[in-house]
Amino acid sequence: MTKAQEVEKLRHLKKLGDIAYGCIACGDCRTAVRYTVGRYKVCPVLEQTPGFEPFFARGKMQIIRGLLEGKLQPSQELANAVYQCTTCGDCHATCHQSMDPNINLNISRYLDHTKIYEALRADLVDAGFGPMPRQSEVLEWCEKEHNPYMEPHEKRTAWIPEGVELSSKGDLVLFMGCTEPYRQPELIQKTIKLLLSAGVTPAVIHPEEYCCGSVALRTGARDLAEELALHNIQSLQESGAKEVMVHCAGCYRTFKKDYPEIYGKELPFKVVHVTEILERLLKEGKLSLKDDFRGKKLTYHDPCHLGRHCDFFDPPREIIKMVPGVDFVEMRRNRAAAWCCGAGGGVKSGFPELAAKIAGVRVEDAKEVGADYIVTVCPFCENNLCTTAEKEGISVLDVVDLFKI
Amino acid sequence: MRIRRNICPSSTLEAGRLNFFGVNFLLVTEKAYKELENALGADYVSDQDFVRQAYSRNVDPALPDRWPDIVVRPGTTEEVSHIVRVANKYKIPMVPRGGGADLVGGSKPIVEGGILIDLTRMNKVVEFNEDVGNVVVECGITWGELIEFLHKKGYTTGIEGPGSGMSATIGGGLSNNTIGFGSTKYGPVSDNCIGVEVVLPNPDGDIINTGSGASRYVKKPFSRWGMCPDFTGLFLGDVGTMGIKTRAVMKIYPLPEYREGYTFVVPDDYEFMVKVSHALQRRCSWGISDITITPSSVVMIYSLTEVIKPWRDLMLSKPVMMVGIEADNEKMLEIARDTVHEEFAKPDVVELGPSLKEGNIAEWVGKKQGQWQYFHGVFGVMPGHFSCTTCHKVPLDQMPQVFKESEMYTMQKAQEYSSAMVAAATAAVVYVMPRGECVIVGGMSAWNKPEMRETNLKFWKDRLHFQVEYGGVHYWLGEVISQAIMEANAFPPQFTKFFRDTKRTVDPNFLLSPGKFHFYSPEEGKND
Repeated sequence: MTKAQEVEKLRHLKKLGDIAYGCIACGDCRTAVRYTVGRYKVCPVLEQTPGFEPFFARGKMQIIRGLLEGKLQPSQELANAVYQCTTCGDCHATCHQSMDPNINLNISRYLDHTKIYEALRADLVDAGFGPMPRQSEVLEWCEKEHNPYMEPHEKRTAWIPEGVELSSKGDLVLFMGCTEPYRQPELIQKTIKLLLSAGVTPAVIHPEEYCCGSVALRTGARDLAEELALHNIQSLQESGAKEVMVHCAGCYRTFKKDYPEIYGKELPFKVVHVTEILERLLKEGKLSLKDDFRGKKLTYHDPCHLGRHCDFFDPPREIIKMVPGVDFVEMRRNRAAAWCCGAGGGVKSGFPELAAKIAGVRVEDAKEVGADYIVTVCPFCENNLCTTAEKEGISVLDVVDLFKI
Repeated sequence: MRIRRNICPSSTLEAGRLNFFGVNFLLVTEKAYKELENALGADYVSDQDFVRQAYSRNVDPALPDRWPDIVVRPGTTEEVSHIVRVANKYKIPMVPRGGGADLVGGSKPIVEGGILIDLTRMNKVVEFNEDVGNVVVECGITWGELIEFLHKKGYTTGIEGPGSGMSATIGGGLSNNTIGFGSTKYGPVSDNCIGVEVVLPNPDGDIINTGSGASRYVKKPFSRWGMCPDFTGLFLGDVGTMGIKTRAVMKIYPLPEYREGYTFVVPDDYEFMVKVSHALQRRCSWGISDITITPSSVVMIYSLTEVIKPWRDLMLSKPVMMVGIEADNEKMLEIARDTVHEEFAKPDVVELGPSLKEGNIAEWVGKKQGQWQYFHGVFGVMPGHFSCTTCHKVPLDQMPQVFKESEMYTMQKAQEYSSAMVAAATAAVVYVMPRGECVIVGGMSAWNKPEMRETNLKFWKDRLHFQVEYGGVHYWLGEVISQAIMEANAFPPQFTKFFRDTKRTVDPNFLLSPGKFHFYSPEEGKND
């Protein structure tokens, strides 16, 4: 095969045009420290590796250029390095970002690192080098049973408490996601109890709800992701949903950013995060918060998919601040500069040790501010952080856990 | 997490390719690799194709990709010395690299192959010597890390690093004699260095210290000069040709109690801008930390592209001057403030502010560490475009004339440039230095595509030759500018001989950064 033919096969990267050439290679994505705006380093993976350039954004961009120019061919070794990225997007949040709304540096307007990495992974999948073995198993299950947890599809609604009837049609639909129904049923049960107690009865679209496709998108299985997305959009549309409520940060990002792109137009429903609704209900006096945290220090961990990727920062913080008697503290790396928990981008399944090491760094951030609790709103982050956090005497909670039921 | 070896068909290593000394590269790199692996550990040595590709470019749209054969990430000075010994044993070229943001090809191979030494693992603060006003750091530490460390202790380096200072390293700044915000008062980075620890590129990989640190009896470094000539200077601005700096002793200054910034829209009259700059420096050199002149052409770019949104709202199209001041107490602050406002108190000058919302960009630069991004506004106006950088120094008084000549040069080249999609800015921003110098920070925007690189390089070198010939003094030299200086015959033969002989003394095999200054082999010029 000629070089040109090799390059032609990179269909996902080629589709992005000159965007991959938008990186000028200044390297601020390596270890930027700019303390006045809360920026303390960038790449959670870099520090856990031997630190060669391919382990952070600039190196990946140079590799992509090499592939597009036919100087480099895809390989398993290359894929192994590329998949060691949580796609947390902190490189994007650093890249020519002024951190001031009055200054908009050109490159920040078009260079979308996560999108480029996902395109690279999709091309590596096409070339037969991706995803990683464990991720392949997960994706096969996603295709077969529509969830990544090796569980039968029909168990997705097994969490619904006895005596609770949830319609499959309605204006407000709760998109359950996979992690909560299959791995943290008590969390979704609490959520539904809260909503019901406040007079909000959402619908669920089982058996038509499939995995949102986030796992597939992040690991390069673009075709599967598109199938899942289109199925869910159609099913939600048929359910009459005007508003779709999600809890999982991965689902939220996928619905907010990826679905419109896959669907090719604006979604026929509004997407909201469960904390937006809970905050509203709390302010309306329809819900109340627990009184168990007096004198305790609570900090908030921004899930990358929710915070950095979708600029969703405030509702969870507003709720935490309203908990009676708590001392809310920010970790020094927060909001758009928050350190990743280490689980995203398929790293938890592909490289569990790496995910655990990164979680350890994030827990250190919490320890540094003396937090008793790390509160988050992503079941995936919660799961990855809790093992290390518990060893340090820090509990990890979801925002939902702060409410009185 | 070892980066596995990969002497594979995709490698640039070609069986039978000979180096300068007629030694087969494939065989020697194989042996060298093993020795490096033994010394550094398998994790920190790689010859994977994708790793080498990742180190094959810097920040420019003109130079060809050049892969190193091996990339190493040493963690100690002794390891660097070991690398140098291995390189000399097998006659393999080496190139040191800091943050890797070199704008002119300085931190990637210039000749094919060799060992690329990524120094970013060496990033610690070694000594904080408050009593003698310095800090000893490993050269791979970034400006961002060092500034954070020092500010917490109530100190600063004076000049706080170049654009991209968040991730640029101290070593890179010293190798390039770089300037940055703070330089109007504190001068270039090199003026603030009082000694270095260097691994000489000779066969023994000798480790030396310069300045007072050269003496075995000095307990902690405190002075640059004395005992012998200023050998520190040999390794500053050398763009990694004379030695591999592993540690640096940097001056520290108490962090000023007050820092303020002002932004003025001024008449399109360079003579006026020069006069004001001189007056400010003469009247208040202790308080004026920064003076920049942003010409109308760049103001319009910042304004029309909404890089600086308030400037767009104000529809700015005239030059802008930015002034930074610092003071240790309120009285000094008042004097500095008054001096600035008195000098700008002219009917056709408009002050923007007080905050960034009203256009006072100096506030962002000074208080939010925006200094590391001020020049980024002209980068990447279009995806895939970047600058062929031409930053250089001229006497401030000559700046108006230089601008005129540059504009004429650009007009002459206009047709050629437009056909090649090269946008030629005659200048970007003027940064005023102490003692009547200024830096013209600028470049030509060009398309970063392989098919355009040769053309871009031609235009770039033409302009550099032109600048050298009007007396411009470049400091960021890397590959392109160091070569352009030699091509323009800037140095008389006696100086070139001295320079080459000095290089031969420290690097008898010419293995460190061959190609810079067109120095390739110890045999060249031996009989001149």
